[in-house]
Amino acid sequence: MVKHCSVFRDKTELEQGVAKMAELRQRFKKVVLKDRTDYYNTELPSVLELGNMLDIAYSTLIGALAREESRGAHTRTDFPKRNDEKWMQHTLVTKKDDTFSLSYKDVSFTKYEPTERKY
Amino acid sequence: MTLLKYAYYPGCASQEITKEANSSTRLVADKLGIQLHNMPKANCCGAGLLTDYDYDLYITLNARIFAEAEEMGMDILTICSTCLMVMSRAAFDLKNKPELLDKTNEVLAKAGLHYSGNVKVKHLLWVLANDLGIAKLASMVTKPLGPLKAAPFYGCHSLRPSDALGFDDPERPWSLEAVLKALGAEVVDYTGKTKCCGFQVDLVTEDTAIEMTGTRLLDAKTMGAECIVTPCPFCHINLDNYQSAAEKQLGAEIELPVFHLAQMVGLALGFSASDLGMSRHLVSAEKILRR
Amino acid sequence: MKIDLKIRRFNPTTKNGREPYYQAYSIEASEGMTVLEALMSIAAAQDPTLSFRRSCRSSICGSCAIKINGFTKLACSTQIIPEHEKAHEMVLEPIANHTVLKDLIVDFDPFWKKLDKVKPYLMPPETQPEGRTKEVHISEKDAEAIDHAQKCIMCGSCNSECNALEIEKKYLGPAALAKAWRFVGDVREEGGRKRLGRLSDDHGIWDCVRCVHCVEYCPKGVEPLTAIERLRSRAIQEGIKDNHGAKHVEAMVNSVKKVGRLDEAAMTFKTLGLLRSLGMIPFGLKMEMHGKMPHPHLFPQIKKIDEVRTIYAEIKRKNKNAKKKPKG
Repeated sequence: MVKHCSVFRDKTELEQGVAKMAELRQRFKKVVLKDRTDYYNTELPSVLELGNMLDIAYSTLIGALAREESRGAHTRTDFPKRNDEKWMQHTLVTKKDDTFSLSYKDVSFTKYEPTERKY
Repeated sequence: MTLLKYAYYPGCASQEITKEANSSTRLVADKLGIQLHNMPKANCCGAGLLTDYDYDLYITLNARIFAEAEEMGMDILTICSTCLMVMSRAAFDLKNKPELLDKTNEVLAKAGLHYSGNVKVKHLLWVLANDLGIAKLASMVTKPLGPLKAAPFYGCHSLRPSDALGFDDPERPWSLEAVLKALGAEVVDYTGKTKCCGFQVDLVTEDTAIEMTGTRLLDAKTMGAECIVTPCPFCHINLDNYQSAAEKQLGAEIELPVFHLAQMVGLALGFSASDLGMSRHLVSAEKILRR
Repeated sequence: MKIDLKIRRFNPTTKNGREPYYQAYSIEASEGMTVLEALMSIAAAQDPTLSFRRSCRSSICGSCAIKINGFTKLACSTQIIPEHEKAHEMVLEPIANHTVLKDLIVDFDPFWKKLDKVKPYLMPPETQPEGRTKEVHISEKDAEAIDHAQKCIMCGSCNSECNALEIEKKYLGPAALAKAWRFVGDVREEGGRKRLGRLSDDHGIWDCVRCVHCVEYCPKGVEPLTAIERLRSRAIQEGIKDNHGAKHVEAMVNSVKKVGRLDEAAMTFKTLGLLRSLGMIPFGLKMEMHGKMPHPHLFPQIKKIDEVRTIYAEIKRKNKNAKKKPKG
C-alpha cells in the first residue's frame, strides 16, 4: 500500500496495486494457523485481522483507481485538479460473495460548504 | 593528585546502633588518605520519614545540611545509603527547581542560613570506586581477602532513583563488585543484590520485613556466598540483627555474617576484627575470620 | 547484527508447556529495532505460538510491559541493540508479582481490582457550596501537584518491580496508590478524608518499603513513591495517625525537632506502643549483649538545634497561612 497507494498515486501504480492485492487475497484463502490451541491464541486474532486488512486495502485501491480527480490525501498525479461536479460524493464499497462493487452517495452539506484547501 | 577531603555525614544509625561502621570508616579513611571533616551542626536527613510528613520541611532540613557543607567548601561523604538517597533527592530537586531553592532559602534565612545549590552528595563506596580509584585502592591492600566468597548487597538506596543519584547503573551495578575484587575477594552474583532489605517497614509491618531480609540472605547463600557486604547500615541492621528471626520465619538455616563496606576494606588494609568492631555483630564472623 | 534471545514459555493447556521453560530464538537486529519489533518478527516468521500483549507500539497503551534481562520495561520503548550491549544477553520474561497465564501474558485481574478499591474517580461535594456559580478554577500549581500521577498508562511495571508486593500480595501496590493520589490531591475532591482513612488501613499506604523501584521503572515518570509520600503527609495532616506507619513518622519528626537526629530507642517505643515494645524485649536483650541497644540518653544534641527548631516553626507558619487562603 505504501508503494501503490500513497498520498501521490496514479493509474499505473494503482492498477498494479489492485492486481497484487487481488493475488494476496487469493493466497489468504489458503492461510493456516500454526497455533492450534484455544488458550490465549494470539495468532488467531492476527490472522483474522490480516484478512480484514486485505479487504480494506483492496477497497481503498479500487475506490482510488475509480476516483479520477485529486482531493486532499487522495492526490492523483494524473488528475491533479479537484472536480466537485463529478466527485462531490462518498465512495461506497460493497462486498458480496467475494466480489467488490462500487457505488456512490451524495454528500450532505450542513453548516459549512466544503471548499478546496489551499496551502 | 587532588586532595580527597569531605564533609563527613555518617548518619544517625552509624552514630549509635551501627557505630562500628562509623569507627571502621574513620580508620580506613585515615589509612587511605581520605580526609573526613566533622559536621557538628548536621541534622538528620529524615530517612524518608520527614518526606512522608511534609515535603517542604524535608527539603529545608536537608538544605540546612548542605549549607553546612557549603560553608566547609566540601562535598558530603556519607556511609549510609538511605542518607545518600534522601539527601540526593533533595539536592536534585533543589538544583532542578529554582523556585523551590528560592522558597527554601526564604525559610533558611529565618535561621540565618543560605544554600546556593551546588553541594554533591557521595557515598563512601563511590569515593573508593571513583575519587580514590580502584587501582589505588588495590595497591594499598596488604592482606587480600581471598579466597573469601563475598556477596555484595547494594540494597535500594545506593542505586535508585538513578537520575538523582547519578553514579552507578541500578541494573548492572559495578562499584561494589569492583571494590571487593580490589580487596582480593571473590564476588558472588545473585538476583537479590539490588533489592530491598525491608528496613523501612521493620517497625510497621515486621513480618514483611523479616521475610524480605530472609529472602535476600537465602538468595545469596544459595549462590555460595560465605558473607555479605553492604554499604548501608540499615541493610546491615536487617540482614544481621533480623537474621535469626528470618531463619525461624522461613524455617531455614542461614548463618551468613554481614559486613559493613568499611569493615571489609579495613580487613584488607590489615586491621583486626576487633579494631573494626566486629564483636558488635549478632551473626558471628569468627568462622570466616579464623581462616 | 544477530541477537540470540531466550524467552520464557508457558502454556498450561499443553503437555510440553505445563512447566515453564526457556526457548531460544535468534533474530537479525537492525539499528533502532525495539524488543517488541523483535517479538513481532519472531511471532510472524519463526514461531506463531509465542504469545505476548501489544498494541500501540509507542508507549501509550501500556500493553507490552515485560521483564527484559531481569527488569521491567515496555518492549516497545526498549531498543534491542543497546540493551543487548549492556546486558550481554537478551532474556525476556513475563512481569513479576502477577500470575502468568501464557508465555509473556499475565493475569491483570488483581491489578484492576486493586485499582477499583481506591475508587479511581473524583468525588466532588454532593451539593455545590453556597454561592458557587462558576466551575472550580484549577491553578497551574494545583494541577502540577497531581500531574505526574495522571500520566499512568496502567502497564503494571511498578507493581512488577515493587519489593513490598513481592512479599505481601494484599498490598494495594504503587499503581493503585498513584491513582489514589491523583484524586486525593485534586482540589475539587471532597471525599479525601474518607479515602485517606481507608488507605491508612492494613495493606495501604504504610505497606510501602520505599525501595524506589516504582520510580525507577515507571516508563512515564509517574513516580508512585512520590504519590505515596504525599498520601502519607495528607493522612497525617487529616489526623489519621492510629497506625504504626504514622506513629513512626511522628516519632521521627519529634525526635529531629528535639535533638536534631534520630532517637532509635524512643522510635521503637513510640511506633509499636508499650505492648509490642515489651514483646521485643528478648530481641532487645540480644542487642544489648552486643552493645546494640540504642540508649536515648547517650544521644547528644546537634550543634545549633535552634536553627532546626526555627525551620520547623517557619514551615508550620507557612502551612497555616496556605490553609487560610480560600480555595478556588
